[in-house]
Order: sequence, then structure tokens, then C-alpha cells
Amino acid sequence: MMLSGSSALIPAVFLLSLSCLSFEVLLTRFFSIAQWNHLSFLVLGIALFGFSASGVFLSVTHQRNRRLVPYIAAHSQLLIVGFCITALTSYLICNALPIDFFRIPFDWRQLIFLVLTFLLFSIPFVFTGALTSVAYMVESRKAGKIYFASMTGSAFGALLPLLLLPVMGTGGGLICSGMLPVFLLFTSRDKRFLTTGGILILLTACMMVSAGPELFTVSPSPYKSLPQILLYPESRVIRSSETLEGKTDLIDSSAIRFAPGLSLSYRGNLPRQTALLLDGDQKLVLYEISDDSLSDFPLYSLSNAGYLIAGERGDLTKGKILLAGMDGGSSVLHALLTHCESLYFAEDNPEIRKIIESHYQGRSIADSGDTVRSTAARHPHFFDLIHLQNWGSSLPGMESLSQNHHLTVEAIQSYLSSMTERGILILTRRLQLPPSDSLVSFGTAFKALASLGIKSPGQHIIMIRNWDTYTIVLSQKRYSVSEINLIRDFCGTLGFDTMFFPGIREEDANRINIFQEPYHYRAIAAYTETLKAGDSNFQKDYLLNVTPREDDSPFFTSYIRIGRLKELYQATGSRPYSILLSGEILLWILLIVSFLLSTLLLAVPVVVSKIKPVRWLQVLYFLSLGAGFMFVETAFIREFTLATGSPVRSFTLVLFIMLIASGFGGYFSGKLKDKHLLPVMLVLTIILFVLFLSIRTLTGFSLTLPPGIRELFLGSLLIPPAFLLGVPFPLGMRSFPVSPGGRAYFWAANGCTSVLASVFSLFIAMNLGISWLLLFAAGAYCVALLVIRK
Amino acid sequence: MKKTLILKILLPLLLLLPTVLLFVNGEQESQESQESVEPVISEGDRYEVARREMVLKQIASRGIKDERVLEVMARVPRHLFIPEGMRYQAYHDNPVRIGEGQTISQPYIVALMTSCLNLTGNEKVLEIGTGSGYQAAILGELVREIYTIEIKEPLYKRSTQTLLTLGYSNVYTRFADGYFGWEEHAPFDCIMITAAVNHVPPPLLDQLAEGGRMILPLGDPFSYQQLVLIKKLSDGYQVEQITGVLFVPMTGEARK
Repeated sequence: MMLSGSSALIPAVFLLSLSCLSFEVLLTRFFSIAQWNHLSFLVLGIALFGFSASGVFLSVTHQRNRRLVPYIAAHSQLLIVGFCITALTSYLICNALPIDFFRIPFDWRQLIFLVLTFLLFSIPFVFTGALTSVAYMVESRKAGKIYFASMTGSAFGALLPLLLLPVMGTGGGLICSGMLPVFLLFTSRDKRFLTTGGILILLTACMMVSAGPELFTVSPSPYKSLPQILLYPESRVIRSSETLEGKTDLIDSSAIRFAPGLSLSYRGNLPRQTALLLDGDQKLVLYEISDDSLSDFPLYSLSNAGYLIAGERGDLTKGKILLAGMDGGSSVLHALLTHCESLYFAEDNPEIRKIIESHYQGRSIADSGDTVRSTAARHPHFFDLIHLQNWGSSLPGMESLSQNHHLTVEAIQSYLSSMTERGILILTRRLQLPPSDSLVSFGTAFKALASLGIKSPGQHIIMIRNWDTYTIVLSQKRYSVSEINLIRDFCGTLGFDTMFFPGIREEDANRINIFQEPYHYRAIAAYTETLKAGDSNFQKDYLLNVTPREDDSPFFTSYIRIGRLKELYQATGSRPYSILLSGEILLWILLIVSFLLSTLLLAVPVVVSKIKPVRWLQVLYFLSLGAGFMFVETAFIREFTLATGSPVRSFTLVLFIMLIASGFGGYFSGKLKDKHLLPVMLVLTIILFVLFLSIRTLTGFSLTLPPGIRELFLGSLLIPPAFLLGVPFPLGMRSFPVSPGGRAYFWAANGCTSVLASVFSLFIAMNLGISWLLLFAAGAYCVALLVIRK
Repeated sequence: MKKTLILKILLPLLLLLPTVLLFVNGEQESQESQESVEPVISEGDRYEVARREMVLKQIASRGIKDERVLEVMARVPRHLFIPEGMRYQAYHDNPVRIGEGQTISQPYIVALMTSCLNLTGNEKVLEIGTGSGYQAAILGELVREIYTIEIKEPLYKRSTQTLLTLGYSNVYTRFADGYFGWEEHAPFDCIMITAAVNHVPPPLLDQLAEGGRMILPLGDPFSYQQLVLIKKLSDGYQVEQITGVLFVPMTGEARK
């Protein structure tokens, strides 16, 4: 079928939207591998900046040259060529840039690289945005169909990486997504486009053959574990695979030795280990287990305190143990040493589950077949011991924007409830100074115990540490004097220090691993007082944010208080770089930059070109829609991260369903009249408000459902609001009596607030809670509603 | 119409490419020049002034009082341990990249770790993680013998060459896995671990003389760090946290 002129527009919008969203999703993978997860947050800004810039460009140029837009509409293949070339070149250039964001504070070239990365990656989005914008400008009567094509194309684009990643990895996926629309050129009647398409395919093929696998490999930051371990002699990658969940590498090297929390008294050898890296950073190690005997080094680690108490309470050989979350990996050996009756593990990443299962094949360890939280939620009063290993990123601050639903008040409640009355929960993490991580764990555990109706939560907590690691041991049953003495003896023998136990005094703390002052003991003691009193004086006054984390705001390692940056800077040795690169600061920078860019973009057509394209109330309408849609999208992605066990799975599920449903909403809008806009908006606002009130309960309920049914349930929650979300934009585009330039300006305005809302949504989630995003969305649609009434 | 489009869209892209290549090229040149070690200080005066300022403003002002350490740090040419392309940062108050994903520690951290060992001049010291060789050179000026081990071959070769060129005859380098120490020369009066560890290797604890001190930094080069000093006693170990940061734990109400 040959397509030309404006008849080619809608298929082009569909295919370019598909490629573009796939490119966007894969860019998040690119940043996660090349740098750290929190930088992948830049991608939303990159994409929406590109879209907005295209709208502004067209709005301005249309005022000066009325023939440009019709020309582009008749030759939409030009934009496809632009997308393909820039998608490919931006990946090649950015992957070759020697980016090292840690050097930004003292190497100005790194700032240039960062800006360049942002700008280069945004260019393909300019072409996609331009195509959609042109379609709205010249075919406003078909706004519903254009919206449908754009949304459904994007929905399938969200799924495409699922197919591409296992086959060709992130690099190959980016190239493939970038080159996919080139096939649309062959539907053109214009021979020049046929030739261009042929040349582009030929050039890409030649490049892929000549450059080889390097072209597909995204280079990880030199500070990540992968490049570091590979520098050890005789290190080699023995298995590598990539899915949307992340890139996993299995590394064999005799120099890998992982045993955090190990006592200085241990004199034996560690078993040989294989490192499993996720996105190039340390995730866990797999121990080589000899058939004759198990290495006993776990008995010399902090975690053994929990096993000792559990052993005192009952015979663990008849017990059931759950290893929740497989960070670190030493918990497997520890649990195997107990020779327990049943040993299960729960891990959110299916690829890692497969690797663990295959490595420990023949050992009595079984996959729970579900995420950590759901395993706990679906097995009440089942386990005798839960060992939770959760180490986080290798660099502090790199995960401050990531949700961690394994360590929240609700999570600990769920773990405790899934155990028998004598059950023991063990959590081990890195010790930090100033005390931060340990305080959050303590406060969260205290609150979880209190919310289970326990009157003196302090009687159910034991915390011990060595020089860089701490372990918290929790139980629903109050600790007895003999159990406390057991732990005190254990610490004395192995050279550990107590941080907290029922009845601890200052002289019990800071004896073997000595700080200048007993910082950890004092901070916990002060925190306990405030928790007992039920006030929040300590949390308010403390240098860092150590409030108990809840599922609605599960940012475990987000410690920085922006208002106390100066004190933190002084307290950490007046060295700026550690603070500057933490997620919270990056977020502020992103918000300021996005605000300035958005203002600039929207001001350009008005101030520079001295044009008045539209009425301001109409602009406000599209500004509100952009913000509202993004608030809803981020609310569901963040909310469903808990239920699906993974932000990536949640992202794919929400994006696919929302975009498809909104696309149909857009298509349906073609059958509606202008007068229907008001009731649609009213119903939408009410639904969003009801969801704001009920979403936490609904998500909590979904955890008790089996996998598969859970996703169906979540999807069904999304469909009604998503369908209605698709109506206001195309109906507004069609109904408002404006010039094509005005419509391009609407498109830009919508994009700009989407950028701002995506960044602002994280502030809301971190400070108020994820569910509040739905209230903000309802508010945004209320504003749009008021505009219609005017 | 088409020409206008090309001018507006493709031309800026074409102009952008050389700029990018220029930056990338500059960075690669820096990497390539890591191989060469300059035997003589060509810009001696400039570096000497920078070194004195470094000692005064970054080290002494932060509370390091050990005169011997201050004197040695003012004397050892730190810039010669850094790849040529990065030497302009040699005396800056930050870690500097030396290749292989490694850094040379911030001058203050080097001074703090060295002074924490309370060296008298007669010690035999083992260093794990030679890196650039700068820390070994500082120790070489302050102790009897220093044995240093590096697991990454390119770094081992480069640091050995630098130390040889600068005439450090009491510094012995080895390309090996530092986890197992250097048993032939044990016991050591002091051990310094300059690489990140998640546990203290048992063989190193064995090779530490009774009454000996082991120092290791916690934290990453680009994050805040603290130091841990382990003392081997007759009946076990004592671990002392020597904070490398000015830590103010609590203020106001929480202090009460």
C-alpha cells in the first residue's frame, strides 16, 4: 500500500510513537547501566523537552511561514528520516562520551557532557513531537484518531523492549527502535524517500558488521562493580543476559570475597564465590558449596544473633526459613547451616530467581515463586525465621529516589505476621555515620511493632554492629533475659557491639568497635524516647531525615534535608561532591532546569516572535491536562511498584494499559460533542478523588492475590480513569477555535507541564505520599473543568 | 523549502559533531598520556607552590598536626603520580582519577590515614592497594620498609615505574591479590588497606604483629569517608573509629 501526503500522517504517528516510546524505555536502561538508576529519571525530561520544543518550533515558524506545516504534512517522511538518523547518532555519540558525573564538581567538561547527553537524546523526540503536532495542526477534525494512533503506538512501544532486550541488549534495542520507522519510507511514492530508506538500512547494517558487538554494549561507569571486578586477574563473565528488569552478569573470579559483618575472630577460608551483578553493580554472590561440609563463616557474622535466638526458641531443623530479597547472598549459606526442614527464597527479579535456583540445584532451597512482599502477605503464621538481606547501591545517595518496599512499616508488619509467634526477623545493612540507615530501620521497626498492637516495642528489638555493618533482630514475642544475655555473650566473644536491646545502658555500647562517642547508641536512645512519647521531636530536629518509612513514601535512603544542607556539608567534612550527586540534589537541579526550560519554551513564541497564538484560558486548559495526566501516570507506576515488585514491571503494565485505554478514549472522543466535555471531566475528577482515598487499601489487597490475577486486578483499576483521560485532550484540540499555530502551542504547553509534573510528582511522593499524586491529578482536572465553564 | 529545512535542522547537527569529537578526543588524549611518567619536575616552582598551599589550606587547617607528615606531604611531588592529562588537579582538594576506575585519594585523606598510624620511623608497613603509588611514597619517607601489593596489573606496572624513577629504594611492590598479604615478610608493624573491603581479610590479621595497627578507610572516594584503626592486642582486637569527617551528631532538643 502506497501512502503519501496527509494519508501517511496517521500511520506515521502510530509507528513513530511506537519507536519513540521503545527508545525512551530503553534510554532508562541505558542510564541505569551506564550510570545509576536515579539518572534514568532524566529520560522523562529528555522526552518531554523534545516534544515541547517541537510544538514551540512549529508554532513560531507557522506564524512566519504558512507553507511550512502543509509541506511537512505532505512530506512526513522527512521527520521519519530525521528521527532515525538522530536516534542512531545520539546513542553512538553518548555511549562514546567519557561520562563521569562524579567529576562534575571539579571538571567542567563533565557538565558539558551532561548537557550534551540531554540535548542529543532529546532530538529524536523533537521529530516525533513535530510529527504529532503537525498532524493536529492540519487534521484537527481527526484529533481523536491522531490521539488514538499516538497513544496505541506508544502503548506497543512500551512492550517492544520486552522483545528486544533479551535478543540484542540495550544498545541493540536502541538502534533497532531508532531504525524501525525507516520501513515507513518504503510505503512512499516518492523515489527519493525509497532511496534514502535503502541507504539508511545499508549504512546501519555496514556499521553493525564492522563495529561488531561493541556497538551494542553500553559501557558501565568505571566506578561500578563490573569494570572493577573484570580488572582482577583471571576474571571472566560466564553468563550475561538482559531483560527489562536489568542486565545480569555472572562473574567468575578467585578475587571475589563477600562476607560483610564477619567477625575479626574468624580464621578460616571463605568458599569460592561467583558474583551476580545487576546493571553492572553488586547484587549478590553465589557460594560454591562442597558436598562434604559447609563453610561455617556465617556463624561468625552479625546475622547469627538472630539464628541463635531462633535456635533457643525451638528446633530449627524442624523450622521453615524464608530468605527475603537476595541482596548479598550469604543468607543462603547461613540458612543451609541450620539444616532446617524447609528453606524458601523470595526475590523480585525473575531472572535472578532463575540463576539462584540453577546454582543451588540439588540443595534444599525452593523458590517461593512470588515477590518478597506477596510471599509474606500470602503465608500468614507460616515461617519460623525470615532473613532479609538488603544492601542497596554501592554508593550512598544513588538510590535515594528509588522505592524500597522491603523496608517499610507495612513490610515489617507483614513479615512479622507471616511468622509463627516465636518467629525471628533478621535484617542486616551497612552502618553509616552520621547515623542514618540504622535509625530509619529502628524507627520503622518500632512503628511496625507498635502498629501490631505491641505495647512496648522496645522489648522486641535487638540491634548489634561491628565496624561497618549492623543487624536488627525483631520478634513479636518479647525477648527474655536469657536471650538478651545470649546476645551479649555472642557479641563479647566475636567482637561485636550492642546498639540496642531491652534495658541497654550507655556502658553496654561502644566497647569493642569504638567511635569517638557512642553516636549510634545515643541517637537510638533519643529516638526511642521520642517514639515512646509519640511525638516527633527527634525526627524534626535531627540532621537527616530518619522518619519511619511507609509504603506511601518508601524512599528508604532519602536522608538529605534540603533546608539543612549547610550543616550536612560541614558534618561530612566540607566536601561537596558526595552531597551534590545524591538523588535529592539531582531532583532539585532537574526541577529548576525543567522550570526554566519550560518557561523559556513557552515564552519564545510570545516574547520573541511577538505573537499571540491563543487565549490564555485555553492554554491553561492544556497546561492542566499535561500535569493531570502525568500525575495519574506516575501515581499508578509508583503505586503498582509495590504490588508488582518492580518499578520496571509496573512502568510497563501501567504505560501499556493507560496508553491503550486513553487511546480508545481519544477515539471515542470523536463521537462526542463539545457539550460532553464537562460531564466527562466531572466524572474523571470524581474517580480520581475516590482512587486517592482507596488506592492504598486496593494495592494492599492485591498483594494477597496470586501472580497473574494480581496484574489483572491492577489493570482493571486503571482502565476506567485511563479511558476518560483520553477524552479531554483531543476534544479540546478539536473544539477550541484556534489556528494551526495555536494547536502547536497547545501541544507544547501540554508537554511542558508534563515535564514539570513528572519531576514535581517525585517531590510529592517523597514528602506527602504516592497516593497524594491522585489528589493533585484531580486538582489539575478541576482547574481544566473550571476553564471549560468559563 | 527543503534547503531551509536542511539549514535549520541538519546543519546544527553537523556542527555539533566536531564539537563532541573534540571533547572526546581531549579525554582520550588524557587517558593515553597516563602511560608516560615524567622523570623531572618541569614546572617545579608552580607545583611546589601548589603543594605548600595544599598542606596549609587542606591539611593543616583541618587539624592534622603531625609535623613529619606535613613536611613529607609538602615534599613528595604528588603530580608525578597522576596521569599527565589530569595533573592540573594534582593539588586540588579532591580525589583524582588515575585510570582503571581508580582514584588517588584526596590529599587530606592521605595525610589523615598516615598520621593515624603514629609512625616513629622504624616500622615495617604493608600496604594493600598500591594504586598510583603516592601513598606508598609518603610512607616510604616515614618508615623503614614498605611492602605494597596491587591486584590490577596496569596500575602495578605504572606505580612501580614511578616509585623506581623517584628513587624509593625502601618501597617493595608486588603484583598479587592483597587479600593474602605478603607472608614472607610478615609480621608487619602496620598494615594500611586503601581499597574498599566488606570484611577484614583473616590472613592480614594473622600477619599483623602483636601491638600492630591496621588502618582502613570506609566509604567511597567520592563520598564521605571515615577511618577505622584496628589494634591487635594480646587477647583480641580493638577497633577504633577515627572519623575522617567533622561529625556533629545531634543538636537542640535531640541532644537532651
